[in-house]
Amino acid sequence: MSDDIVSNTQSAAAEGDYRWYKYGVATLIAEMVIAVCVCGYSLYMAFAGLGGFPGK
Amino acid sequence: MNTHKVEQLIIATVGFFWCFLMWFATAAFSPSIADKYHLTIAALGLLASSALWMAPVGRIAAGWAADRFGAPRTFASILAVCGVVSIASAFTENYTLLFIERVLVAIAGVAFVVGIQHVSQWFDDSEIGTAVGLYAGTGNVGAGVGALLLPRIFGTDYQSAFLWLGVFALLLAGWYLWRGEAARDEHSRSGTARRAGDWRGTVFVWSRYIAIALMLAYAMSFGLEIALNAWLPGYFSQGFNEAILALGFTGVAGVQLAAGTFAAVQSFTASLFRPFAGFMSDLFQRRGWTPLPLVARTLPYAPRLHWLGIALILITLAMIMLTVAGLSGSLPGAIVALVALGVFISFGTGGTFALVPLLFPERPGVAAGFIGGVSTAGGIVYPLIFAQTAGIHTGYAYAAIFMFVPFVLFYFWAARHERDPAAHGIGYIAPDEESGAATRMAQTQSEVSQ
Repeated sequence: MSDDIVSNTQSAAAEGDYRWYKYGVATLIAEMVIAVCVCGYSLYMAFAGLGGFPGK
Repeated sequence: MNTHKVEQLIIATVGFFWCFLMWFATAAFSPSIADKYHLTIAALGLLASSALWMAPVGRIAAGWAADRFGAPRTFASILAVCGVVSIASAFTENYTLLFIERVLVAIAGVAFVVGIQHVSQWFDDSEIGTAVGLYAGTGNVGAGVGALLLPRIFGTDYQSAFLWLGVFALLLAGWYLWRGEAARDEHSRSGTARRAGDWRGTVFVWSRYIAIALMLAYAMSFGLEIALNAWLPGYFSQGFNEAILALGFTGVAGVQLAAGTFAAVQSFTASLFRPFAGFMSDLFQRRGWTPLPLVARTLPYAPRLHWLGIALILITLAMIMLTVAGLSGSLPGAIVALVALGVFISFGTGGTFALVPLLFPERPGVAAGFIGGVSTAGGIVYPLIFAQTAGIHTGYAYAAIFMFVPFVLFYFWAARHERDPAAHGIGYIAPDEESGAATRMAQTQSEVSQ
């Protein structure tokens, strides 16, 4: 996937004013990381309840 | 004015994020409002559902207005009206008046199609998926952020929250008017405005099979997303009550906390993976991937049609998976299925609006209004189906088999044309569209022959 992102960005950059694209891709990766963290937290709760987490 | 497409994307995204925040602010404070006015459960349900009432018709009108008057003026008007009414609702002491005011504030939800029109007027075909995905995905998070942060910042003082939300909306309206530009050049802007004045164009878009297919695809994705936002907390608290109690959560508050956390999985994945879905649509386009049977392979945007087709199949399968996990009684299994469903929903929402500006470049607002507006009716219909089936877990499979499978088949049928699918529909083709379709057809044939 990282190869795809790099080549996608490079091919896009070659076509014109696409310099923003790499920042756009970085933003979408950051957003996915947040979503994965929320999913991980929920899944942990499904197995272990609130055990060990802040807010217990 | 000296501007850049990224600035326009940021303006649209911030504006949409704030609109989503205002849209679902009522829901975030519904316990406080219910407590103050001693609302019954039925009245609370009415208040919750009222957030969706304005969306179907409002989005259609907003899409037309964006084409006709330009996105900055339309978006700023929505922000200003919603801001003023939100401020007024902060000083209201009568529940009936408060209810009416919050229904009016929910108009903020129609801003989605205006921003779509705005972004599509600035970005090229090869980057439109990522640009629209970033706009819509980041904006959609406003609902989750509102539910998470507003009660923590303002406590039960919903009136202060409504006041500040309204004040910032007015500031954003001023910013949008000041720095917003409707399109990257005057030629495309004036052409879009001129075509918006022709009602035949609206009839044209509404009668195209591919527009109807995309509307159903968006009903399968975004319509399902907002339906699940409302449905899932109740589903987990009832369908997995024993499992949640066994985990050590006690009392109504404990079960609500657990159910809300599990339900948030869908909201966060469906919102935050949406830009990735747009990126994948761009990637399919650049690599020329067309793996599905039946769906067109030679259209300039054929790979995007295939990406959306894959997303729709995955949504259908994930819905059945959710039913299987629920019937097996596995709470972790249901959450894994829900993660998959949320991600696939984002593929559907991102994939749909990576296509809309390309299929209807002459009327991006009208098309976005139809597809993004009518589909929100799903948010009202699906919970009724989930609630009416025999068991609380079976509604997902029921909706998948009896609604989604026919929707997917219709999509494959509508997307099969190798020559301009927008030319196929019910009834006539508006004269200017006919020539536009012919032009695009010639372009396509030229590209194929090359």
